[in-house]
Amino acid sequence: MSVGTVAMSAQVTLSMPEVEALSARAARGVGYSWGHCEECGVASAWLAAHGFDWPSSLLSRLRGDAGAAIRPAPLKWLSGGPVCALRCGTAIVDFADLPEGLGAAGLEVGEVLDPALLVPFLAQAVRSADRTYDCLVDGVPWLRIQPDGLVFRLAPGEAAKARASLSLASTDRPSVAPCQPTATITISRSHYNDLNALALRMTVPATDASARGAGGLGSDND
Amino acid sequence: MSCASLSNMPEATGFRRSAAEVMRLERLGLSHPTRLSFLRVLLRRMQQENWQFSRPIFEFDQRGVGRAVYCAKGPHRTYSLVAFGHDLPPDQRSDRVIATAWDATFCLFDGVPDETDLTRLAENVPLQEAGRVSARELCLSRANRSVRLFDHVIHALSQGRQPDEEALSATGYLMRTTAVYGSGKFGAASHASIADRPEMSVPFQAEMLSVWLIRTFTVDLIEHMAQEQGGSSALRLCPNLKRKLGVGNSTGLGMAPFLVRHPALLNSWMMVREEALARVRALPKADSDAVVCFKHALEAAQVNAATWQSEHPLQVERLKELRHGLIALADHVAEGWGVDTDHPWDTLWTWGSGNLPVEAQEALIALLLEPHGSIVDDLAACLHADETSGFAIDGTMTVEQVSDLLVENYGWAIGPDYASKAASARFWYISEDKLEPRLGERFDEAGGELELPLDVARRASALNSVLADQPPHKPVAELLLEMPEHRPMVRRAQITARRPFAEIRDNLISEDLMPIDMLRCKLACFGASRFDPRSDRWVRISLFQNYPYPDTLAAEAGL
Repeated sequence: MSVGTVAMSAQVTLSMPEVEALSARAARGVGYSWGHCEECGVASAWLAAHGFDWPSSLLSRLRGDAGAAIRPAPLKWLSGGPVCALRCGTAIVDFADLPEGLGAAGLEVGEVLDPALLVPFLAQAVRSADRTYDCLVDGVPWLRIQPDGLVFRLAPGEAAKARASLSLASTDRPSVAPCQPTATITISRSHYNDLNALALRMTVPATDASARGAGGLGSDND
Repeated sequence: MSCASLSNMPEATGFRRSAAEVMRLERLGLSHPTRLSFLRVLLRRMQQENWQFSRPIFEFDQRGVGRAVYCAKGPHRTYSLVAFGHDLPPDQRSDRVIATAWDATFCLFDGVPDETDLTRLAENVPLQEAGRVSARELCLSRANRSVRLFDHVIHALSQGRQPDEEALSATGYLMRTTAVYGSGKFGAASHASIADRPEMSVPFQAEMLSVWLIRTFTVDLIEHMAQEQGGSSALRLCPNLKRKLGVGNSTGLGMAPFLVRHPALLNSWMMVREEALARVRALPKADSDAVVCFKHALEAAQVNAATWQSEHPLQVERLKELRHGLIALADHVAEGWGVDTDHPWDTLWTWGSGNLPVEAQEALIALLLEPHGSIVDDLAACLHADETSGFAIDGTMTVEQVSDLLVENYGWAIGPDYASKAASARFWYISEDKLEPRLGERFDEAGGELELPLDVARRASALNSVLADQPPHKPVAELLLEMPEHRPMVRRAQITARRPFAEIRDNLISEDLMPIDMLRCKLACFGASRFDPRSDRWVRISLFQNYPYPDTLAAEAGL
């Protein structure tokens, strides 16, 4: 991905469509299924818009292992070990309106790898459940998530954890200081280059035949 | 699809065509622009809102090197085209996306740029993909000269005479854009960030505004260069010739996957056109003014078909069909059409669909809409789509329900044997060099394992086979936990269930695929004319040909 002169600075400012495309392609580059890549792109854009350190979590996830098999069950999911946040989050949304999904009594998700990546999916499940929940990390309240999509940070440091146990508990407490959505996001050149390197794995090198197919090799003067 | 305008004329419901008929590439690939195409919608809005246009900066030397700013001021905001002219050696003039230099480069700026903005843009816009723009920019684009016509027009005007009309009509543009990037590309503002503005809610309005202002720039530049060469004896281009110029555009495969990746948007575009056609067919009588307008539009279409040039064998054949079809239509309108009968427009459409080749049938849609702006133009409000609402998968849907959806909307996909070379000859992929979509030959080229999920037909068939072996009442959430590879297809099936025009109903990896059919479908939605394929996956078109310029927009009738 060519980034030109301005982007040779230490930071790169991306639009949300770029965040989404870059994240989805990077996920595909390390072998996630296309469906999960689509989810990854949308989730990354959500995290970027809400001020989360999405590239750190995403790179950690894409470089990490696939996690244990996910086993949804009512109230408490029974996975056999820490699970991938992207796959788990996707399942939480898929099961949102089933008995295994997020209900009034809350949900114990269990141990999750790179748990910050789970947040966009939790927000979606909370919207579906239509009530406010606190998200707890290792028993510590971390986020308050409203059905209107607003997310409030209760304990800022918890997002950096690479592995943590997550649960959701419904709450009637008022919310304060929401994360404000933004239209563009600045990330470090290092993160940008690392994600690009993964994304390039899903591309096919050009050949003369493919270039011809894309428009021919002759003159375009007319 | 939820859009209030769609329910304005309930009697039209019985006249709608089915998605099964409309969404085949053999028909989509013959689409014609209509009064609901994006560029027409833009021109109508700017005229109705009395937009004002100015050119605060125009600084070029005799070679065409310099910069310009064109401002379009609407009721709430101003948008500015920032243009940079370059001196490009002929051997670097390439339309392909892999080019690195152009005759002119542009961006559409949100507001009026100051000198600091212009300095930043001068450092980045000429680089195109190798530069970065910001959320203040809505589009990034570039154009190359039509060398033959550009030089001819300068030469003629500089010597105090108008250029040859035939030469001008044969090419139809002074410059052709080779890419118009929008929505978040290379750091630009995303469409979502401006979609709440009324003037930007219809898709691709920023892109259309860019191209329309580029058209003015091309004429201004050529008149300036003629003046530089000819001095006091130089002429300006006469208005009649000027009007016949559009902006050319070269488009390749990069545009095609858009239609697959944005099913909700495709549904809106097709639904709007089909609803408009149904409304006209549902009219019990033909207004005499509308009949006159229709006949004028038919004459104009015949003139357009006569001057429409292409050397591509497929398009040559299609043009022949179009010309013959329009003659047959004109004969029928003159002698056989019962204009005073009940539902005369439906009578005409029914005759056309039974007697005209598909190319002329699709042209007839545009002709039928032309006199009926008062009952169809409000549908422009339905051209957008909320793409987020259909993204989440309904995991409660059972295997049986998903299977029913496939039978209902993907029956066309379930028959072929995808193990055969014929049915899976191609694969879509992203090229490493330009990160652009391309089409490979699966059995001759490397890279098939990196295929994009545009093999919708094959995926529908595979999902159908899997569902047959599953308990019918199993929630699809459980299925996707076990087999996530079917996730994209389950999502598509659920989107299409509520949006019948969301899916191109053809196998996009078959050996018979003509990618230009996908390109023409999308380009017609833009309002493009003079579709001229250069291969089965590369096409030139014209935009805004025979439409007004900023200085004549207010007085234009019939937009």
